[in-house]
Amino acid sequence: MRETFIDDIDASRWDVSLMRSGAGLILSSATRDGELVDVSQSSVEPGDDSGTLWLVQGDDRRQARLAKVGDDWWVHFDGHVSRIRVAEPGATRAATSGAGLTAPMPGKVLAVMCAVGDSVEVGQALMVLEAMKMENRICAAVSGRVSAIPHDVGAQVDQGALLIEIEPAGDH
Amino acid sequence: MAALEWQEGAPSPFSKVLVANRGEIACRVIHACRELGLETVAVHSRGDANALHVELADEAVLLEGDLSATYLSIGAIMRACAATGADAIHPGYGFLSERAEFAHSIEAAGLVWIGPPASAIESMGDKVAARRLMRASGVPVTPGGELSESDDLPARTHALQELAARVGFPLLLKASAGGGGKGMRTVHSAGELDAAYVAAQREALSAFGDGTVYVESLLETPRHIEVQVLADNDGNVIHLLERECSVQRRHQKVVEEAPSAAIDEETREAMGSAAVAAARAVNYLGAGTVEFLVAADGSFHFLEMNTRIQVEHPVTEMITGVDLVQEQLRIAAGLPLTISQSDISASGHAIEARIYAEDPANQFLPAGGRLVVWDPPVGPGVRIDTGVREGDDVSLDYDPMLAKLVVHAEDRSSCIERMAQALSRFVVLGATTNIEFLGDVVSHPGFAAAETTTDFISRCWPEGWSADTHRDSRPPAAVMLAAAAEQLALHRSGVTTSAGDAMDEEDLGPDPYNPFLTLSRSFP
Repeated sequence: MRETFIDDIDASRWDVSLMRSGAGLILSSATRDGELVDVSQSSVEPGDDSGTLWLVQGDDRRQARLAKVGDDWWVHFDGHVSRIRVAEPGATRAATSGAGLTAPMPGKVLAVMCAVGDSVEVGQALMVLEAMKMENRICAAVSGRVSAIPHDVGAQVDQGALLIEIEPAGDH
Repeated sequence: MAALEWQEGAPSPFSKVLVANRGEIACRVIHACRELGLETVAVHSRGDANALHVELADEAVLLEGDLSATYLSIGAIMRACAATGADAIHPGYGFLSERAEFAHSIEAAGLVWIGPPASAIESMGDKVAARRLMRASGVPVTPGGELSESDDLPARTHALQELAARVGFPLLLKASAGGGGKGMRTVHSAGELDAAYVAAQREALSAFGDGTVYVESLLETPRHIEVQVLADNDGNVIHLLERECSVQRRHQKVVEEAPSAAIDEETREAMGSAAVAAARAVNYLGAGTVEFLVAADGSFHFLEMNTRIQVEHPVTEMITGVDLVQEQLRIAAGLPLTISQSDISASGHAIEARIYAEDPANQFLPAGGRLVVWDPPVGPGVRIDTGVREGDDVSLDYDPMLAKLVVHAEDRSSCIERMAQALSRFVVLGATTNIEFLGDVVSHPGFAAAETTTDFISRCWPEGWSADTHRDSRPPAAVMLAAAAEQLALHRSGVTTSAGDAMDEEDLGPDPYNPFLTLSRSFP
């Protein structure tokens, strides 16, 4: 059976095929962004405890802890935590807009230092967002014209919320 | 109720302690109280109704409203004391712990304040007055100055520029009532000064309710080394050696250790004596910490005195064997210290790592989530101080520290190894933490070499930290595991099986052995 995953750390896309073997599974093939990756002699066995799996690679046998949260598998293995998203068949990674400024964390809009229609330079401070009692300046990622400011001073914003939209200046 | 044996003959006995805090320190204090036979009362906000400190305490009082009406409300906490009959209050750290007004209110109500006298908090809380007092007591301080309050903007701007020119750039703007990096700004040139001042002032006002900001010269690549002191009612003041807390990020301590590998015996004694002198100068009582910056040439400068228990107090407890919170309770009851300076010596080495719910790969921004799996390491020489347990939601309303991992070993190098191993065994799933980053900090060759100046993190990771450095040593293990887990879980829930999937229910064995029984539940 074949499954598709996206690694949250570098957004690489994996297709993994597994075969049943006793109580566990053998990795039969895997591709990363379409390229074949060596998974020879790799198998996975259920552990004794809830949420535990063994990864067996040749003579090396190491335990992993896993939990599924939403569409993500959180995997603790060898001291590292990875988040692996189960991808919908045929799904592609959403393109991120380079010009829109989004909230890096949930917070409150403390000050807006620009207005719709303003021309702004890259690096210019446009907004102050307060979170955890610290002030974070939101600076323009590109030069251009401010086309939208959806939130007013005092508004609570969620992580990822669009704060300021900029139409990038044309190439000259 | 019958008086406690350890309080026999104590001038100010008490039996029920209200802990005016939350998180790990509230739990730490409750444990210490329980060991001494004291009853405990927790206070909590609505969002903290299911928090660990509420569960641990004998009684709990809900405080309605936002931060200013709950953990920062003197009135609400005094009412909680009256309602529960608590006769002593432990403030923990942060929140109201260094508000002289709070100490005053408690003393005025005839209750026992587990902390220094309000006058000592006042003397040390006004950072500028404290610097003057320290200089007068022979304790070396860093150069700097204060700005007199004025609503006249041009005059203030002028005075600020003049003061900055005298101190020299780069300099630090610091909140006079502050700590923890809030209301603090580094300024490199005169052009940045005004904007930085306004921001620092606003941040200080919001965090501490006092917008006073002062100027301090910025020492180049100093170390942060602090000395723990204990003082009793009979005038005995002792120090419990130093802690080095140089590994910081944005002036927030990240990794602390005791003793410091960077100072010699002579400096250790000089700093200890200076700390005792500082405590005596304000008639200190209880547990306190005198913070110093230590320059490359070994000279040390008074930074501030924290008139409360500190986050990193466990490293001192590990090497000295003294329970600092229990000492606070004994001193608050009016009892004399049972240890003298000659009883204090370092046994081995201790390191503390602060576990934060934050994303080190994304500028260390706080990260929410649910602690779907929370499995701290256990073993010899490993201690966890925490205020959370498995299943808790990480609150973004408060400081994002989840726990303190503290390890103790016979020497520094084995202590570092123990910490590295403990961090790699610390399993947290469902919320992003800084655990991997902490592992990289203690495994860094510069940490082993004790090259821990306060710029350690920015020097070692100038472009920011990223887990990608592990990429090569991490073949698709996580992906393989997730794929296998997905298939096993899918099979369990019976959602779908493709034609090629030959797995049978029986092959997975009886339910107790199925690892994903609890995992098919999804967490929003």
